Amino acid sequence: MSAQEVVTHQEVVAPEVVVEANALSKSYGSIKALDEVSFQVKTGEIFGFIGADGAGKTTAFRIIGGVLAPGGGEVRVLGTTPREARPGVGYLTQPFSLYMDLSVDENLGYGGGLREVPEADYAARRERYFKLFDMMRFTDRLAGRLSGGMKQKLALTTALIAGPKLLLLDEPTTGVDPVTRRDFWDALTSLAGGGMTIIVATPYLDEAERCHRVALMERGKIYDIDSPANFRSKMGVTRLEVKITDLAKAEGVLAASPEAEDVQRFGDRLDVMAPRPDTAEADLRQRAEAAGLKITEIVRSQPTLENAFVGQLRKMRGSNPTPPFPKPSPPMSRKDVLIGAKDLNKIFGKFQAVKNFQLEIRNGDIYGLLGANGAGKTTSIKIICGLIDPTTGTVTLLGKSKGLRAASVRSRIGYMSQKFALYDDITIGENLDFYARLYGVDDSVREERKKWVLAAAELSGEEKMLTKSLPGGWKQRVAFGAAVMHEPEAIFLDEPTSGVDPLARRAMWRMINELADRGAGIVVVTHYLEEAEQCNNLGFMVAGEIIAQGSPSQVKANMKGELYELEVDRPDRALGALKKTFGASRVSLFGDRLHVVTENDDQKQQARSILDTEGVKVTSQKPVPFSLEDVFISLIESRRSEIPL
Amino acid sequence: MLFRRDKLLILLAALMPIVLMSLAGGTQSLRLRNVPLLVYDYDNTPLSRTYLETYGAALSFKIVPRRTDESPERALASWRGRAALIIPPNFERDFRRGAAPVVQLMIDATDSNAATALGNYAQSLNINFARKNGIDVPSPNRVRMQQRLWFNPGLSNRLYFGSGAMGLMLIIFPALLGALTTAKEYETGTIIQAYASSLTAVQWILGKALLYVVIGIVEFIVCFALGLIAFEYRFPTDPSVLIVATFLYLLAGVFFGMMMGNANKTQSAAIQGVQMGSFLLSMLLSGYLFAIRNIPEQIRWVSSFLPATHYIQIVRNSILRDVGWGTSLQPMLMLLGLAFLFFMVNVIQMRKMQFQD
Repeated sequence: MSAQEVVTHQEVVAPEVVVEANALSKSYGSIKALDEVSFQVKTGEIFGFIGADGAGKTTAFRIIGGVLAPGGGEVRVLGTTPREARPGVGYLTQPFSLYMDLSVDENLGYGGGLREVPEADYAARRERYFKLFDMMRFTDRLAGRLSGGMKQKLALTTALIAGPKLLLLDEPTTGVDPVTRRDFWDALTSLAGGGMTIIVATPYLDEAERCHRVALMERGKIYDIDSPANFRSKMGVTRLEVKITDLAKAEGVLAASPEAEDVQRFGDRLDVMAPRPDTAEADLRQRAEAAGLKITEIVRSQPTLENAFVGQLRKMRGSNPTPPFPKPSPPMSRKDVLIGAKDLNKIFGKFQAVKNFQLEIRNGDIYGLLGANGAGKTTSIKIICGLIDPTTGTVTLLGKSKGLRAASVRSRIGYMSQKFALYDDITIGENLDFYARLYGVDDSVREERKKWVLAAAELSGEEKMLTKSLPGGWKQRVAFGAAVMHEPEAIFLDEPTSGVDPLARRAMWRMINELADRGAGIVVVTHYLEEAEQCNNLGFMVAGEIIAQGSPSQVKANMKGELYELEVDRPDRALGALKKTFGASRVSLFGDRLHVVTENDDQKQQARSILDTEGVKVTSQKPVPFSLEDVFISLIESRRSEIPL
Repeated sequence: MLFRRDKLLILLAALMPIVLMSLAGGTQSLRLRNVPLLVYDYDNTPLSRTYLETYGAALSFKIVPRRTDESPERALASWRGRAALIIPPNFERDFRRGAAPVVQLMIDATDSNAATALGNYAQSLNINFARKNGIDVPSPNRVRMQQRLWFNPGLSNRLYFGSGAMGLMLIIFPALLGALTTAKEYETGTIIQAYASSLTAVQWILGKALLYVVIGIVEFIVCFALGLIAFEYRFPTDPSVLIVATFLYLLAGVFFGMMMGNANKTQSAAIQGVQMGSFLLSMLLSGYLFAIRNIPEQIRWVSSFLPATHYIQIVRNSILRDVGWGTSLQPMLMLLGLAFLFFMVNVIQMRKMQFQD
């Protein structure tokens, strides 16, 4: 053992408190952004703040980072005040604190200069991190011309350039695709392995699984801190993934079971939380049969962190039933092609943004269009909506392929862009009035529809509130309502639930399902896999082309090989060794657990012998099902050479 | 409704038109009024005093006291008077004898339009005097007036406005750059990086400002070169006055812009602030277009707070009148004071290097 490892080992034995907060509070006017939160973060830990927009994550970071004065309570960082501790703290802000018109090297140089980093250290760290993040080729490129993932890596390097003991990462993966996110988390794990303490905020619960401990936050309060594994086991339930016919009907039938603690509908299955899985399974099968439904498969698995968070939120808020859509038009039963595209191509100069794009969405379909940034998702949707013309190919909307710009067609389409245009300076009610008139919602139902949007967003009676005072996630919910108030038949949603808390996300998906069940065709554009699971059909786009399609279960089943979860004593070392042989895309770290994809028994043997030679002890090993993230990453890796940098 | 929520909108829609119209309308007067006149009466007889009263009674002139030992040239250079009237000894005697004494009027021709008007008006007063006081047949030629133009004998308009224009340029662009760079830090959130480092407010402000002062100096050199070619600029004998003033002026401009950036935090609002606060006010009230004495007294005090007022004076002193430190000292101190004032506002705005609540 080298000397450095001995030191690391000792630190693990006697962890030192890096950040300690006691009853920390902060208010802006009458809004409590932080309400007496207390927590401790120890050396070498990856500590996650998990919560939706407006939960207080950013406020907490600002206080720990020494850029905002606390309103009350106590906070110690690195044994001193946050203000004094600033030189030892690296802070990655959201949005990234980068100068878009400076080059990569100039941005880093500015960060280094601000922190007065000695020249030798600067050169060494620049080299180390740029190599680690594969940035060496881009040092002359302007930051504004980097992809989302590259910007993120540059921002992280800038935060690391001063060699901080504590790293604060405020939603570092926002706007970053899954491949880059996985790389990023692997890098974080290895930094933490080297003794750096990391506090990270994220609204995405799949990421939170990779933290050592997480704090669940809601409206300025922390109401539990624990490891992801403990959160899951504390729930004392088993998750049953039920494949069943007629999901809409089945949801109600199964939810009536006393054995089912919670039923959640996904794109092609229902998840049921059951404290006693055996009795629950029997009861569910019985109920399904009685209702004339057919259960094709039940898979048991652990509850996710999202399930835990939802459970927590429920306890706190009570359940809030989604109001039904008021005075709906009769359901549509015809099976037209509501949204269709045939052989679409779009060429910008020399760059082919969309290649042979095909799409066919009929009544009741929820189609998820997935892809990394720049894969061509937005361009395709813009073509279909008629915002830009294709180079070649035809578009079908609502069964028509001509006169798509006519008002009669437009008024039956709903579109919610990622940054939906609610006007900040007017009230929520005025915004809703405006959109109701714009889309021609009939006067006789307008008031009811408005009430419905407000109730669904849990903002009943708040219509006089100024829109700009809402946190992002809440605006998102109002915006969604505004986009579907006129009962559109073809609906386009661009990351509809980003920044929304899990409970509200489920409410929104219930509404989306309701619209689909009554016959609307829906396209969801996203690179968040939590949203993708909700779709009943998925298309993966890489380099302008859809390279795989199918239901979530189908695409997972099409994956080659098996995914193993290993618990090992030295995950960081194991990760490095396995990556060398298997490639970065097939090995990743989730907290202290390792995920490895093996294609056959030989590779399994090989992995085992590699870990033996490295002296890594495997404490447990079990096969786990592939996640959509795994699918996404393997698809992108397979086309790696075609993706422009 | 909307107005109550968007303060900038109220400002632009309701308040600014009124303010601007009053400013633009109220200061436009080009007529001469209360022009300070220095008097050198070497005759000192009842008639010479009567002659002077003609000027004293006219609204256009205001006789100002002069220092005993000061030559008319020096007095004009110091801006104490815009014209000097010299009555020769034996004025009365020559007049009575019909020998047509020669009265000299030295006019500061820095502002060529005003100088021409002034000369014409003085000439008519002179003729009037001769007519009234003529003993037998009134003759306009009983007193002859000799006018001499100082500083700008060619009565070049170009030099007058060309030199002022440099002052205007150098307040607009450095201030705009300062405002944009500061507001952008807030807009893009990059200011947090500075907050999170141990940089102090003074370091931050000076670091940013000095860069733009350097850019401003380059602009100054370019403007000056253009002035030499196109606006008949002359090299001052003592360039140190102009150089020091330019440095202070640029500092004041950049600090003013940064102050706007800090206060508004968005680029669009900061640009508006600079346009109103720096460009428009400087154009109307700095003495570039309209003489400051023509500005209504109620708003004349604003002029003193405009760096352009003082700088344009120094520029004209240097390249038009070619006078040295003495006459430029007071505007120089004002520039220094304003630069410091704007700097201190920045320091107060940034003192915490933290988010404001």
